[in-house]
Amino acid sequence: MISAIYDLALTTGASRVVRGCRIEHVCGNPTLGAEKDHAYGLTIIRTALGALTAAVTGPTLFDPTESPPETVHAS
Amino acid sequence: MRLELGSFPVRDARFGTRTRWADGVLEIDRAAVLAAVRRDPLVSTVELEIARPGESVRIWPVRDVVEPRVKAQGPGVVYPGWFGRSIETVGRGRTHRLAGLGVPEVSSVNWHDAGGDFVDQYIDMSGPWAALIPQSRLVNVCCVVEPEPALAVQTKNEVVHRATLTVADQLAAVVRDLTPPDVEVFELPPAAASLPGVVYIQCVHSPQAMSHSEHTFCTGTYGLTRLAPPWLLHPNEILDGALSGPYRTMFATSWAVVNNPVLLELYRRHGRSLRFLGVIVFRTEWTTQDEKDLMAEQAGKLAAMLGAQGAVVTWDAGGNEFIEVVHAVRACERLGIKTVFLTSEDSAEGGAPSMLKPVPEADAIVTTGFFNTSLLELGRVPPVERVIGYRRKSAGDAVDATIAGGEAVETAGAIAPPWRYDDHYGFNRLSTFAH
Repeated sequence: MISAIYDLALTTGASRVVRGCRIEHVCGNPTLGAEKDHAYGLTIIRTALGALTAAVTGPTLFDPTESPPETVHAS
Repeated sequence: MRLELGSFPVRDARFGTRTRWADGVLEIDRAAVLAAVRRDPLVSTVELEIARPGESVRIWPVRDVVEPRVKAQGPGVVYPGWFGRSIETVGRGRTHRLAGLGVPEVSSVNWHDAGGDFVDQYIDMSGPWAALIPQSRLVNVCCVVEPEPALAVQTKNEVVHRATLTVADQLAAVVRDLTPPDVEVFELPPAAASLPGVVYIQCVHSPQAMSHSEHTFCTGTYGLTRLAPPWLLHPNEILDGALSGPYRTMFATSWAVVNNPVLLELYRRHGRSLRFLGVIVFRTEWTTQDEKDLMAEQAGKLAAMLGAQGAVVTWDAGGNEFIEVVHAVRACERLGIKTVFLTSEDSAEGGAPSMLKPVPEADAIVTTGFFNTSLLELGRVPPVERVIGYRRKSAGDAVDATIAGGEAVETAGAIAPPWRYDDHYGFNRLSTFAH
């Protein structure tokens, strides 16, 4: 699950939670401009796909801004 | 900060040759009041209509209800900050109010164009719905107003609320120089240190994130509705309308906020059973986890810096805003501040929790029931003889369904109650039972 309010998603027991940007734009950040927004969105989606293959033992947070290969700061 | 609040009770209002108050009757020079509103060239049409408790009248739709107040002495203006009104700090001197009178703001103007958020609150002056909302017990002088149609929606919001405040100002002005039959003094003199210090954390919705409006509607702090870190207000500022504005539920309109029983009860207990330390106004609907948590932490820190041993938390919204609100409760509790949370509940259908995120620190909760009226089994609200405002439902879910089907919804007919019934501040005394 990709969620801007990831803490709530973890509380409800979702096993794999990806930190999204904001409630208004969960999978991107239009204030970054088109190119960086696209890259940031891709990072979120790749993190989500990676999370699908990760073994977890309970609700686990995956933070796209901490994962290689590229780091894009949301603000 | 000392405020004398002088009340002039109103048991009836009628149109007459000049605006004046005498012995509980407000006579209104309709033409003069309307002329004052029409001084704004952006007003297209405006009308005044009176609705009395017990009449078969429906006021449709209602964006706000304003209690006419006026500064008789002391700095500033009531309902400060809105659209150029003075932002000078209020809460000192003497304020006069027309008690029992409301000025409902009636217009077809919607909050914003972003969708999913409609003005569909209404007031019935008699019948089962009237029994459930406090504004039905007021003599209501309705400001039915439309702005010029070519304006942007944010400007339309401005025009409509400014018109309502103008009507309230015109009516309150006639008691400014009179001697009120009843005066209550509001101040917070030093109280015994043995009494517990209590802070009121009043959470108010900000429409900014979803509507992009920073100041045109919703409960504003000196007219500002934007997302901002928590404010510290003296309760007297709130009594002068520093926290006011149109809002989507009757229980958080301007009238409701200046008559908030939680605020008044905390105040009246100052020096007797507690020390009332002030009001932290906490804007909600932050849209990242970090922002929600930061604001909650800061609200708790402010309460601790004020020396609070207790806190009462209310909120006026629903949905994701619950997170920062309940985290503020948690922040207070973790700082050793005993905190009571007043809240409505979500439906517990399907095994879901009746609160979005229960936290163990929120261990003293007063419920105001389910806010979703369909769960209250109220049935339909019966027809009325007269509608003030609009005879056809012009916004909201039902209109989408019925107009698409080629059918208009007559607001004079039997209709569903407004979908929200959220008595945030405990105006009513509905009973509850567990089952």
